[in-house]
This record gives sequence, structure tokens and C-alpha cells, in this order.
Amino acid sequence: MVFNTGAALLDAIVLAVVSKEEEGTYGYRITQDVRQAIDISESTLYPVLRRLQKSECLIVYDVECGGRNRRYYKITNAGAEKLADYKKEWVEYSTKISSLFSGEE
Amino acid sequence: MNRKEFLRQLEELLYDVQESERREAMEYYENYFDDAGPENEAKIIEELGSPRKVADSIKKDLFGENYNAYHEQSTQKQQSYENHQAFENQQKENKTQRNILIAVIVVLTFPIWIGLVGGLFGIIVGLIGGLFGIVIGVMACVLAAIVVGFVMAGIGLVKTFTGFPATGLIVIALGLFMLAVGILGLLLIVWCIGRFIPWFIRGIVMLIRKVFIRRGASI
Repeated sequence: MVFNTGAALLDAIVLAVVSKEEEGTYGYRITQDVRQAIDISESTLYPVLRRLQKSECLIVYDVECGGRNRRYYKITNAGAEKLADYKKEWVEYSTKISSLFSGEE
Repeated sequence: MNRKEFLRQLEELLYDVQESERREAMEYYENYFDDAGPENEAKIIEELGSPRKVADSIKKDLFGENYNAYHEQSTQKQQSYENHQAFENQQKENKTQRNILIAVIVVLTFPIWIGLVGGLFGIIVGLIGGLFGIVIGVMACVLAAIVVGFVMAGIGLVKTFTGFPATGLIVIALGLFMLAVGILGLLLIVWCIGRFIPWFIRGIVMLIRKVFIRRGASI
């Protein structure tokens, strides 16, 4: 991929991925899902999740799974609002770029 | 590298991160390996890159711009230390070069300074020889005065008792005078030697010490 994914876009993508799972999802799966959309180094995702957790866009909870705890991430109301904002911004941004590319004013 | 080693190194690299943050990150990556399963272990280690890369991504997020500044600062410190080392080495090299230059000059100017040193040495030896000669001369005179004094006193005594009492007494008087002069001269010499020899030895010792101290300082 030739385009860089900035911090805000990365946040938006992660929020979108997590919001798809009603019951929450875990780090490894989030990484796999995000990597279906964008090519990203695996080490990039932990800081993003941690940041979103601190800004209370995501909450974390442990679920016992096969004799060990698995850490789950779930989107909060604040996170959902944030995601809605990001989506709106993205539509504006991508529409403008797309129309510019296709030559329609 | 296996999972255990990877996580151990990561934990080490996170030493300057808050305890709670470190635990959180370690749990995440342990979870990550668990969820990926042992069959994906090697693949994940390869994709994560290195423990350093993972640690850097965590620190960059925690410290933000400060992390970069901190990083640069430590690099600069390292550089200034290296510059300082280079400067010291340069100085050492300069000193060595200077010493070599001095040695070369000393060797090249050998014909000039050997003459000067030789001349100076000659003057010193001449002065010492002259002084020595004077001392010997004075001693000889003193010795002669004493001997002559005794001899004249003896002759005077003989003359006095062989019919020439007047002449004899004058000769005795002259002999005693010579003896007195000789004894005075002897005392003078003894006094001079008593003063001069300690001064002379002290002078030599000081000269040697000066030369050695100066050499010691320049090494």
C-alpha cells in the first residue's frame, strides 16, 4: 500500500473492527481483521488499542477461555460516537478525493 | 528466537516504562501468542520484527514527541562523548608528533649543539681545573711556610747556641712568623673546605634533581 495510514484513520479502523462484535473481540482477532483492510505491522496495533482504552473509547474485560484469561475489547458509547464522527469525516474526505481523481467538480 | 525469549527481551526493553504499562503490554503480547496458537508462533515473531521494534512502538505512544526528543538527546550525548574522545586522541597524537619533531630537530642540529655543549663542558672543566690548581698552590704554600718555619726555627736555635745569639734569635723569630702564617693558612684551608665541600655537593644534587624532575614532567 502506497498510502500512509495516519493515527486518526487507524483509530477509526480499529473502532470499526471492534464495533462489529457485539460481545467484544480480542487482540489477535482485531489484528487479523484490521490486516484484511490495510497492510500494517503487527506491533502497531497494541499502542492503538491502549490509546483507545485510555481515552475510554474501548473497555477491556477478561474472559476465561481454555484455562486462561483472554482480554476482550468492547466499544463504549463514547467510542461509538467517536466512530460516527470519523465515518462522517471519512465520507467527506474520500468523496472529495474521489471526485478530484475522477475529474468531476 | 522463540516466544519465551522474545517476551523476555521485550520485558527487559520496557524497563523504563511504568510498571502498570509494562504489565499491560506483556499481558497483551502473551495473550496474542496464546490466541495465535503454537503453530503460528514463528510467523508472529517474524511479523513483529524484533522485541526492540515492539518496545519502540509502545514507548513512542507513551512518551509521544518526548520519546523522540529523549532518543535524540541520548544520541547527542553519545556523539558529544565520542567527539570529546576524538579530541583527546587528536591531542595525544599531536603531543606524540611534537615529541618526534623535537627528537628529529635534536638529531639534525647535532653538529651545532655538540660544539656548544663541548665548549661549555670545556669551560666548566677548565674552571674546575683552575680552581683545583689554586687550591693545590695555596696548600703547597701553606705546607712550605710550615716546613720552612720549623727549619728556620731549628737553624736559629743552632745559631743561638753556637755563638751567634742575635742572628739566631732573628732567625727563630722569622721561623716562628712563617709557622704562624702557615698555621693561619691551614686554618683558612680547613675552614674553606668545611664550607665549600657541602655547598658543592648540595649544588650537584640540586642540579641532578632539577634535570630529573623536568624530564619526569615532560613524559
